[in-house]
Amino acid sequence: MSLVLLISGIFIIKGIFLWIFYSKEGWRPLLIGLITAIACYPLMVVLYHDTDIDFWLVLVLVMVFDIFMYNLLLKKNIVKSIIVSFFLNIFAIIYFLFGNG
Amino acid sequence: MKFIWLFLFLPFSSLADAGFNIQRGKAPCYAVFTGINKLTGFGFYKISVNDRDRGKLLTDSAYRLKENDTLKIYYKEGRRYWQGPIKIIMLNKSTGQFVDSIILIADGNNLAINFSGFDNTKPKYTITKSKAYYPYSLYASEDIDEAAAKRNKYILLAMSVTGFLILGFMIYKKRNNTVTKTA
Repeated sequence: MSLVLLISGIFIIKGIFLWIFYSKEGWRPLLIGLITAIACYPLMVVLYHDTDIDFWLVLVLVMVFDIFMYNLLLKKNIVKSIIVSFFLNIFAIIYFLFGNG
Repeated sequence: MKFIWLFLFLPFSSLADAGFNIQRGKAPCYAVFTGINKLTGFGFYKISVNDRDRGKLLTDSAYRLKENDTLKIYYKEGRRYWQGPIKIIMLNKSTGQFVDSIILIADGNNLAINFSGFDNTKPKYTITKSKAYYPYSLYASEDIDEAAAKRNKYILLAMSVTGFLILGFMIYKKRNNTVTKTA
């Protein structure tokens, strides 16, 4: 899967999810969705193809990372951050695996 | 009793080993053979030792290597990833006997096998390794060669680093705004 397709897809998934759950924050959820997609997923592509690291562990780490980011940058609500991060990253990792095989 | 719901996740834990770690695309690896033309008294044959052809012996349909032949020794076929190994066996044409064999294992490397002559009845060869790169692509129609694959890998890593730096800056700015408002 090309980088452009990967980032576009992850941004759409993350942006839409964040925008629905953090609608009162204006355009910030879309920006956070884009930046976290750019930060995490290119690295995950390299880890997936060049290493044998367990991707369940990577998924958990990405979820925890997103929980911290949403809590710090969007709204201080840890329960909401956990729920959003869990569902958002499940859909994102399915898309990632679908494209990277 | 309140933690009984955790047992619901047990069936999913069985997927852990069968999930992300199988069928991961790795860098395609190649073996290139040179110097075969110097050893006219020998024949070189390729046998694949894998799940499909386990224990397959030399038959009339075995692949005979030629000069500058390039073989894939780690590659994708449908949704299976073959690691080989590939066995090369050497036949002395005058005696009709197999004199030597090489087993090629990719291990993330491209191999160059150079046959330089023969010693008694066996061909002499050297194997040099070079790292194989996964064909990372930036856009769909990009032509990927080894240099482009290496460059694209560094671009992916640079993008990640940039994203983390931007997030770090956003956190710093938010904390500064919070401190200013508090003051």
